[in-house]
Amino acid sequence: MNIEPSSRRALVTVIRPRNASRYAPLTSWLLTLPLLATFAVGFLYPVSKLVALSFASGSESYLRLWGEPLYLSVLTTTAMTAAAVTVFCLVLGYPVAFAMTRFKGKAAIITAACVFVPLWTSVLIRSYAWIVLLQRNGIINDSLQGAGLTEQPLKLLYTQGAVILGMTHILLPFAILPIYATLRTLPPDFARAAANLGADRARTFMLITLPLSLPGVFAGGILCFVLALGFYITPALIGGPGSMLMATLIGQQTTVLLDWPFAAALSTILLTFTLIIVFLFRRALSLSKGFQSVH
Amino acid sequence: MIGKRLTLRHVQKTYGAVWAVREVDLEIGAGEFVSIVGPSGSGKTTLLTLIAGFETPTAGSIIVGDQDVTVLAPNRRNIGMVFQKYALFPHMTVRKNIEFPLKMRGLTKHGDTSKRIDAMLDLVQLGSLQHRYPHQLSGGQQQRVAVARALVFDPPVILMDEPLGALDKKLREAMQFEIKRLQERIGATVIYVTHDQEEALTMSDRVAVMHKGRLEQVGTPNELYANPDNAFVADFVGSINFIPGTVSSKDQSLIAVKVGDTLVKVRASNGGSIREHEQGSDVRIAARPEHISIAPHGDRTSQSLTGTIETVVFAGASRTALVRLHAPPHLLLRADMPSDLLSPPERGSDVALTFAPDALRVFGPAERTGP
Amino acid sequence: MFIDRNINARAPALVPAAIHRSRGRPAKQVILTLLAGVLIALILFFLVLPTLIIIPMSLSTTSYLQFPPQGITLKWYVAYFVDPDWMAATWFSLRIAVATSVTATVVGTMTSLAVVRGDMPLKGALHALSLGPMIVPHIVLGVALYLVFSPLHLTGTFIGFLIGHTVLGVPFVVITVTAALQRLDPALELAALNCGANRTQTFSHVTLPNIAPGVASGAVFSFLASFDEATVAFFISDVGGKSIGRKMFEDIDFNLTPVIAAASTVIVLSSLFLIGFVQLLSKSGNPKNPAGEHL
Ligand SMILES: Nc1ncnc2c1ncn2[C@@H]1O[C@H](COP(=O)(O)OP(=O)(O)O)[C@@H](O)[C@H]1O
Ligand SMILES: [Mg+2]
Repeated sequence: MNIEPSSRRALVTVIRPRNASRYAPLTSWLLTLPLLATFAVGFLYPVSKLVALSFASGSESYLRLWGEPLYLSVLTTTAMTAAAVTVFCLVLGYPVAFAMTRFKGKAAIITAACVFVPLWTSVLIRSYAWIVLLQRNGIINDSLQGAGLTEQPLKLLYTQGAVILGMTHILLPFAILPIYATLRTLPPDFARAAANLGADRARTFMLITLPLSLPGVFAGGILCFVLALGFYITPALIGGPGSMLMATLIGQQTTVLLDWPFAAALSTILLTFTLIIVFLFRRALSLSKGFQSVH
Repeated sequence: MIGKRLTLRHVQKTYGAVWAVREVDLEIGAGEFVSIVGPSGSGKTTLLTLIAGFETPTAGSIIVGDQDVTVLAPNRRNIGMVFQKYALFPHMTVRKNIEFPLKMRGLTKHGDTSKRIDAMLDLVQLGSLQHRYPHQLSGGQQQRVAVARALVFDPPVILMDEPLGALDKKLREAMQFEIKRLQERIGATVIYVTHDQEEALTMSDRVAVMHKGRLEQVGTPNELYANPDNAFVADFVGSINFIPGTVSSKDQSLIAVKVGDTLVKVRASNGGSIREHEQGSDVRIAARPEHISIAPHGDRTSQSLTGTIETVVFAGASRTALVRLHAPPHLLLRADMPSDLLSPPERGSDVALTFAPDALRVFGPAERTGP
Repeated sequence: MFIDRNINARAPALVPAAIHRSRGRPAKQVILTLLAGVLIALILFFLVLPTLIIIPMSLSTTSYLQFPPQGITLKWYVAYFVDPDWMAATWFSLRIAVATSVTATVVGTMTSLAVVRGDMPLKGALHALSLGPMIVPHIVLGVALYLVFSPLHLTGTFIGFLIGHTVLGVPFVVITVTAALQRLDPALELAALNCGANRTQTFSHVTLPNIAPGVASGAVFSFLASFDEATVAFFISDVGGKSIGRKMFEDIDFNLTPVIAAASTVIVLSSLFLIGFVQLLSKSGNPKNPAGEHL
């Protein structure tokens, strides 16, 4: 077979690496094929199909959502819940992250274990534990009654508060780790220099440490917010009818009402919203990359 | 002798707008030890990378023996390399590291491979450490493993990229000797990259001075020291003083350069470029410290420069004076003091400096040096 | 206050003015340090409480959920191990998780090689795509997969789960393996080529052994991601094929018994054992694995 010189040259640039520390273009493409195949079948095609289904009868599903105050309130509840969870995670997470940079020896190991053990406990199991803790005759109610703080057991479970508590618990490590990663890179000399100049500890913290750790706080916050938006398991198990979120509404539409086009429209909105936030804050998020996601 | 000739013809390498290597022509004889010296970023590593085949030159060709290897894959080149930070395989023992090139050549099936590795371990004196991992070795030991791995498959050409850069001075000097001994014993052609000109001068048959991607000059250590082609080489190899002046007159045998009020004479045959300097043009006289003689201020002549001794530096057997010239712009010159002087001039005393016309060289003014 | 403790330890001779200013402070400082310690301890307790609570739960004699338990029994563990439903779900999930960890590790490692060493356009987009399933809400992916799998009768099947969970597992592998590849000294691969190894030999003899801890971490994380997964599993399970996540979800929702606590304890302990194994693999001063992984 005779190959024309120009096309032979083109062939050579495809099968030969440009230099020894890279793979040839052809090799590179071959390496990505399994990913493209798997994701085409298990990710891109299904999600496109879902989006297409939401438009199956034009914009009807979207108009219905727009016209019904109940659905609109679910949108705002979802955003508010995610925001509340984010704030709680940051407020509770910052001191832990800060402590992780200061602790040594046993204290450091125990703290790290307390942060990582829940991270690798299934969301289902942790939601189940919260049911055990919060239910009518659960430990928290028992203790409250035992201490004489209440006469009757309080309704703690199946409330908006329970959902926020459970989600905060699950997302807390995702706030701690990026903050810790940023705090750890701050040279201790900064704080020491400020202290030597006579700044007291509160001022040192407010003027030096906190501002310098803001990128980590921001990354952790965005991560918590994005993950909280799509939460399903926790609100489905420990939330009540009054605390309907986007994900639980989608679940209800598919499993109870079987209104697939409407569920698809809700999913499309949730997906779009998530992707916009991720895209806008992709740089901040890359800081927190490396931690698993939960839903 | 296993060494082969290595020829570089018009070799060039660009990275986008950066010219890492430009127009390099170099012919290295079989079994020759050639050093490439140059400041950091001058393109030394890039040139080795091209010879080893990790990158393809933008233009030019590379020939080993009679074979053009310009586009040959690196694993087919049979060129040994000692990397800057050794690049030992961390998951393999010393012995496995050294065995690796033989294994990749399918030689481990033959019976004498084991003996070959033992011999190599003996050669670099690592026999007792052969079952250790690289991270369990000192810097000098790691360096010897890297050399052994590069030599074990008898490559005709060996490349070394600042192999001693990470070692302390004493160990470095010992290893220079070791490497030279091994090379002479094996007879391979070696290209040795270093930024340490002293190392290059002591080890090499020839030295190539690299600057901004170009080879400024290639020659024996003696040639480079005595007859530098340009101011960069003069400055880079050994210690030298540059004294700016103006060509005041010129004849067949001598050039007179006016420095302040003094006329300094330079032998006209020194350097090809000297003829380019017209009468009245700005030049720099280059004088090595050992070619400046110091005399008491009272002994000054019309051809000597005067100055004041600021410091006397002791360097082992010899002493060097730093002399501040009286004439503007009050340069600081290094001049070696004869060791047999009965009453050496002291700090703060005025002295007269004279120059040997045969040892001086003249280069263009500072802006024009370098490419 | 942690900052100040360090400063005092390292620089006992602060400027006199600072000493003067801090007169009368020690008592206040001790109280503040104590308060901070208590605060951190409380947050850490909050983090681990739900994971720890399942252990006494699983050993309690009473069938309703009570704390502290009245007595100790192993009957819930027995119930878990003899119940055919629980066992079927456990084995189904185990098979899926093992297969998922194999496919996700192969696909993710190949993708990482292309992303780090490849020579092709759109590498950034490829990397983002490979991490995408981490960001897309799992409920959206679950609904989308159901839409595609249901007409193909893939719901409740091994292959259906394998596809869905491989998509979810790939990001974990990509994160750990790209990190390991980026840490790998590129000169090692060049040295292998220089020693006469071809591309394949370079990969198998030098690259792979040195990124092995990263690959192993990715394999374990994708295994756990599959085994722990509940949201997607909720949608692609059916009566014929139910993962342990779906089984637990149903039982928590309808039939709250301590068997769930027993099952949870088994799962949590096995997960922590696996994670501990990976940590050991990466952190130990194993000379064969200097490219340690820390997650
Ligand atoms: N892969 C590369 N991409 C872009 N520029 C490079 C690359 N490698 C080297 N260079 C540039 O080429 C020049 C020569 O570098 P190098 O060969 O490493 O110098 P040396 O080894 O003499 O210090 C430098 O300016 C460097 O920045
Ligand atoms: Mg270099």
